[in-house]
Amino acid sequence: MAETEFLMSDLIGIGIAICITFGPLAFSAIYGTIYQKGKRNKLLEREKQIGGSFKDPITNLSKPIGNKNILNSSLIWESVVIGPSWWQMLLGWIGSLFGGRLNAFTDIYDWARREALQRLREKVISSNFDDVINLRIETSMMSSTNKSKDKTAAMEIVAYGTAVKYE
Amino acid sequence: MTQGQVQLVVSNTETIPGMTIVQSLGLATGSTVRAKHIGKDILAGFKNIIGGELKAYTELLTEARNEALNRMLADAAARGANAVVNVRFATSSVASGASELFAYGTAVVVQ
Repeated sequence: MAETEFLMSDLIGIGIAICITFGPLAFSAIYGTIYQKGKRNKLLEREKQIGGSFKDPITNLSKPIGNKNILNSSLIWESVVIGPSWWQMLLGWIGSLFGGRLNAFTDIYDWARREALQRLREKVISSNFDDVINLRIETSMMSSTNKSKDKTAAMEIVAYGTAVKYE
Repeated sequence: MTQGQVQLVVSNTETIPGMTIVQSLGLATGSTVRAKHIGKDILAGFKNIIGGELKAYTELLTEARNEALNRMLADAAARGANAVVNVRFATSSVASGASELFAYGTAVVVQ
């Protein structure tokens, strides 16, 4: 009897240890995937409303297309900070052992850039301008140095350009 | 965009559309170094488990970039400019958790 109780408590201990070690990672893998998918679907819907396939107000040309007279202009910018989940970081680390394509990172950074651009489109519309010219996208890493204990890995993307209003 | 009493036209194109540049007054710069807030850092660390946008950092950097931009505008206004053209942003991480935001452009007089 005493022996089986000892075994039981041992098993519970091992179970707790497994939960603490792999719990956050499992949570990251399951909930993170669902969460990111939801956010990405929302972005797709927003892209359908403004920009997207038909009329995109953003160009990176230094002058607007056609001979349009510009009434006024202003600098406009939007930024977003997006980081991969722990699960994606693990996948990326495993992938980097073999080299080649890192789909986990490709997806999240592509999403981040589109999110920044979409915010810029929405800001252009809400601040009553017609177009954005001379768009620039700047990327910077917010991740910590190797020695630091801080595990946060994030990328900041700022999209900026000149918003113009036509006559 | 306004700074104090002076109304400055800011653009990241080489000219202000619809206006002509009459005088160049040199480079106007503005920078700020911001560190992450420890409370926000912990929250962002938790958010990092599931990935996605770290709103605390987005807000922090937005605020910091606004400050850098305002300093650049103050610099341009002090030179007597009424516009800043060819504005560029640059970001660099100074130390772990701190980033420097830098905005620069050419201060000009336009008509």
